[in-house]
Amino acid sequence: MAKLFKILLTLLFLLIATIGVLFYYFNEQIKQPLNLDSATFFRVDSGQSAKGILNRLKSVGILDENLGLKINIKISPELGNVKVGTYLLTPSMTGLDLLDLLVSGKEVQFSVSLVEGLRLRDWLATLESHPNLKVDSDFHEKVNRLSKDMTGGSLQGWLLPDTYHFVDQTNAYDLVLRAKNSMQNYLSNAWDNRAFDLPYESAYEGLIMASIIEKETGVAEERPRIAGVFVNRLNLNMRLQTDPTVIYGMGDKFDGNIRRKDLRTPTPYNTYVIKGLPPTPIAMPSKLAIDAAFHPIATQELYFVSKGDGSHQFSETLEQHNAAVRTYQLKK
Amino acid sequence: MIVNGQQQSQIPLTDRSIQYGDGCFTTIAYQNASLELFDLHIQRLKDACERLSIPFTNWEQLSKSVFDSLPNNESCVVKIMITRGSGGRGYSPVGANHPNFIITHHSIPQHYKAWQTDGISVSVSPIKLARQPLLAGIKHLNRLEQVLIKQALATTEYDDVIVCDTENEIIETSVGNLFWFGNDKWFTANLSESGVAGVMRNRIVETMEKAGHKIIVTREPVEALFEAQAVFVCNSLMGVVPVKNLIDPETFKVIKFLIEPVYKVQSMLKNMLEI
Repeated sequence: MAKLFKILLTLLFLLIATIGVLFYYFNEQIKQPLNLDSATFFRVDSGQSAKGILNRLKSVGILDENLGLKINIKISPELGNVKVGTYLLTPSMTGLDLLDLLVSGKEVQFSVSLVEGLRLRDWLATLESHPNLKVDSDFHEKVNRLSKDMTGGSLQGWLLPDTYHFVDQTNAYDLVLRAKNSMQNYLSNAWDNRAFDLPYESAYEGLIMASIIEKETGVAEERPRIAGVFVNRLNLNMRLQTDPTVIYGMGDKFDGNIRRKDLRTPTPYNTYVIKGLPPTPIAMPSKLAIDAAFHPIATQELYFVSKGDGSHQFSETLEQHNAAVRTYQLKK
Repeated sequence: MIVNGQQQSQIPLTDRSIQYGDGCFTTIAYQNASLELFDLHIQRLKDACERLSIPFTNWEQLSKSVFDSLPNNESCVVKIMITRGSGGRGYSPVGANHPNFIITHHSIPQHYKAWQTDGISVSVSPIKLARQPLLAGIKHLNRLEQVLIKQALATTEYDDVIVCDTENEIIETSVGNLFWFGNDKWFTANLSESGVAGVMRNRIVETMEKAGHKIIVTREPVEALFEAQAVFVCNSLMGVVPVKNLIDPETFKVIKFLIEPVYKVQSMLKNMLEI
């Protein structure tokens, strides 16, 4: 009897020892770092099971062994609840970290910078060529439909420049909507908080002005001053005479040079010919340009000319302006 | 300074070049021990004398004096003037039968090398050239229009100016002839009513036509230059100089030109001169 008990005790001891060893082995296995040299994107598509994903990871060599992780899923079934998405795997991650990440659904964030001063078509091209955005076949159709609904009948100017973050395979059109909503919010807030006595009849006119300011200067501090000049001109019923509107009106005919013929050729946008503002914005204006349009500085200045370094020389009279043109513009 | 083959720096006050600008001239670049396009320069003097009826015949002595007076191992500009000499009554040249020739030496402007590679900025001169077909093309000694043009240019920042005639058609610049490129063709101004037909201009037309590029000699309003893709100025001393910027004096807008097509002309010309 005592002998049998002894054998059983030994077997039990061996069993416990074996379990202990196995437990230790698998516990080490799931804590092994991934076989990666650098951070790698990993995509989980819908319908893929955790087990299938572990097999895939093993077959591509990211995991040496996957049995430990499979056992973990058996013990804690919530670990098998992986979410669809694109994840960023890093070399320091263990197999268990990986599983946690896929279960958390914390997808990698991609970003796209929609740059101020560019035009709608530039932005659409940027969105369409982004590898992590989904572009449906009716993308342009939807954009056109949205354009028709906007004040001015165009999305030009209506999207807020910013760096937009998104997860893989986000619909490009959703980003357009986000940028449009951001702009609408920003503009209506700017309109509500605008300075007194501005010559704009609507927030949209301010948006048009902001787009011109955006194109006229890259120097942040100059924007409210340029706004001041243009506001003075509008108040005096002077033509704006701003080159970016001429260029916009020329469309694809613009080859880098503005000739006297171009200044005289009427287009809806040529502010050397038309009075007041053009019919739509000519680019996507930044928040700073919008702020400038609604808070121009008080000035008597009516002219400015590029100094050649991106900044401008401002003048109150035509004589001063012509002298400044001679000094700066005509310099070699 | 050489007058009629002799080292001297005096000429009679009665010389008609002083009295009336009655004579013609040319300027030749002497560099790398070579008087560039010398034969063409002599030919232009012959043509000018013929058109002005200056009875100069002393061509051999003239050539000899030019070569004898060249400095050793030094580049320079050789200027040759032929005057009708003294005589005649009032404007009438009748009886003035003893033309003089004058040779002077000057240094080649240093900035031309940089101009050839970097290009220049030009505008359009407010001073216009008169039309006179009987004098057009000749490099005569009556250059008051150029003096006025240079005077006006000196008050600006431009390197050179485009000069038009009184009808606002493109003629030349203050110092050279003009070529412009557009629609795959090179153009140059028709000089039958005003302007100076430079030796370099004629050489370029000839060289480019040999290379299969037809040059269109034309009358065009100055606006045609604003539409051009490339423009260059040339003369015997500066060679071929690209115009980089043209500032429209009416709008103050800067029109930028391509320089690459002008580089091609430069190398075409260089190859031709070497052959």
